[in-house]
Amino acid sequence: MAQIDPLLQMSGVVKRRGDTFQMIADFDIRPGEALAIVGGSGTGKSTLLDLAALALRPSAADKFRLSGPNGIVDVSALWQSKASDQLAKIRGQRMGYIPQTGGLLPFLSVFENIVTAARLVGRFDASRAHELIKILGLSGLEARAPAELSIGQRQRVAVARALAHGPELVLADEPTASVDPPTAKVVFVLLLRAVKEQGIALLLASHDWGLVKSSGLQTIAPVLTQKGELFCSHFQRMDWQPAEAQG
Amino acid sequence: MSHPANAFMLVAHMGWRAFVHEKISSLCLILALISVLGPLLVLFGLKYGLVDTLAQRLIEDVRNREVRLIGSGRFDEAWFANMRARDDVAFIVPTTRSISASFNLVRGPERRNSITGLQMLATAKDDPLLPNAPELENDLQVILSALAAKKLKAQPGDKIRARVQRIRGGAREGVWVDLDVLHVAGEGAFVAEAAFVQQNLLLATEDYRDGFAVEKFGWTGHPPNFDKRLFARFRLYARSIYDVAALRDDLTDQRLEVRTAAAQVETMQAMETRLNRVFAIIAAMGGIGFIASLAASLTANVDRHRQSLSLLHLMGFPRHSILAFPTTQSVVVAGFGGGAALVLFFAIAGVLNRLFADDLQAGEYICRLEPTHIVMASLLTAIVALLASLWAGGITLNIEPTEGLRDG
Repeated sequence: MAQIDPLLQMSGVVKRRGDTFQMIADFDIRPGEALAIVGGSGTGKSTLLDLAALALRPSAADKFRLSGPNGIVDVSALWQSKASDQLAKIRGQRMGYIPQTGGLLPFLSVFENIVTAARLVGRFDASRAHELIKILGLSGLEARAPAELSIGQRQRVAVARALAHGPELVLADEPTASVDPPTAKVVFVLLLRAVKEQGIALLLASHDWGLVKSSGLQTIAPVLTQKGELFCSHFQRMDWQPAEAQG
Repeated sequence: MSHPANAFMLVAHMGWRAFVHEKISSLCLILALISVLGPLLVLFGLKYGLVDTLAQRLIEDVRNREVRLIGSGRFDEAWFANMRARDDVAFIVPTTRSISASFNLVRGPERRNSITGLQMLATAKDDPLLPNAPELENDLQVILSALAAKKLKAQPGDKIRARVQRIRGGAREGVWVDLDVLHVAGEGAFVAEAAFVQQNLLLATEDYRDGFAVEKFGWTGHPPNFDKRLFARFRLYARSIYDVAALRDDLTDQRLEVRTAAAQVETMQAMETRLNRVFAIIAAMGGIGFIASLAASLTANVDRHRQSLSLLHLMGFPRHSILAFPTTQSVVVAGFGGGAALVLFFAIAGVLNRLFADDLQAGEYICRLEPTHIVMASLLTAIVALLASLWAGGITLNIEPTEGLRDG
């Protein structure tokens, strides 16, 4: 089997918060691959996602690369040169982000929320948007304001928005944390189906072991160490089963 | 469209949508602008309309340019030549003592219409009191004031008879002069009854009353024996109201007592200067208040939408494109508020002008603005709005893409 180049490579990427917390990321993710980031609260799952989303500046990095059709982008170099608009451009064109709670623009309709990112990068495609709306069970809600939707519906709109511009990598931060278990299952399944159908890589932070386990996702988990005052959380791919990791 | 321009347009659209989404607070912003700009426009309209109308009246009223001699003096031709040569003198003509400057009796074309004691005023080319009158061609032509013409029932082309009387050797005697009415002056030119005549006729009546003969008119008396003609008075008009004070001071230096409207003009000018300052202070206060309130409101808007704006940044919108959010809102506030303030101004100006219509002449307004003023006000509002939005815009530049992701 031919080795596919990793889409995102993070090796020795460090984010420190004061003298008490340090997160280290050591993993890569290939195109079309779905990875779950697991770990208890306070271990830095969100920090890892924000770093991967090019939204948070790393404190240090051995290797932090994003590969693509135009070659390899050295992310840590972009951060060092403070090229914030260039980072924004990469985020807009190649990434989709599903926040914990919807994060929809309250003044735009459901449909406008879904296509805003696509419009920004010049990839607005109404049929693709409508297809996503159908897959995510949002038909008939296009003209509604986010405030008129249930929390579960809002999460599905956020999923559609993260996918509508055809990103290569989608980052989801506990997308099901704020909804009830049956709805969580629906959102989860729809998200996995959508990324699989579109060949998108997914990096998903979740503390819902059951869902992760039942979906058979590969996982990234932290190895936790304490050196005096400093609490260190080192994320790596895990080969063991999540059930063992919990114990 | 290029990436940044497209991003800017999209954010501008969102600024507008957010503005519409929050109807009530947006309406408050617009009302706040109207409440500052509306009264300012009316105030400036009043200042411009009222003060400038009064000032214009002062400037245009020739009476305010007149320098009147109190009593009489002795002025020779050289003095008049000297005065005529001055830049600040628009019109000067020699006249006689006031007591001599009248006809004892004037009869109209019909004998029963007459005036006793009709004032005579010497006139000449470019008389400020007679701007549209034809020039008198000879000594026996006369221009009547509107009131005199009315009493005499005389019209241009009519002949009237004027009586000049004197007492000589204890006996009363007099002569009749037949005069042609060349023109009747407009109502505004001179309010009283008067006849404008050439200087020669006026001087002749003075000589006659002094007992001398006037050969030219066939009037008998002592033979005139003056080697040098002296004049008792003059009619003098300054070039503009602003020259009156200097002219007055020069004549006062010659030990002549004169009366002018200079004090009134100075009062008016002083008032105008003071009103300009008052207006500038009020406008500055209003402007600063508006810029501060708009900036505060826009900042509050940015703050309220901080999470959304952060999300835009996360979604790939360049940092500077977020500026379009407060800028658009600011422009919309300025557009709607400024437009409504103008409508309000025109409504109030209409009411004020109608209220004071009785005191105004045609073409005068108590409250008005020129198109240039409106353009200026619009430009200033736009500049203030942009300044205010930059204030709020500065904050958007510090929003980080991760801020919107988690509550708290």
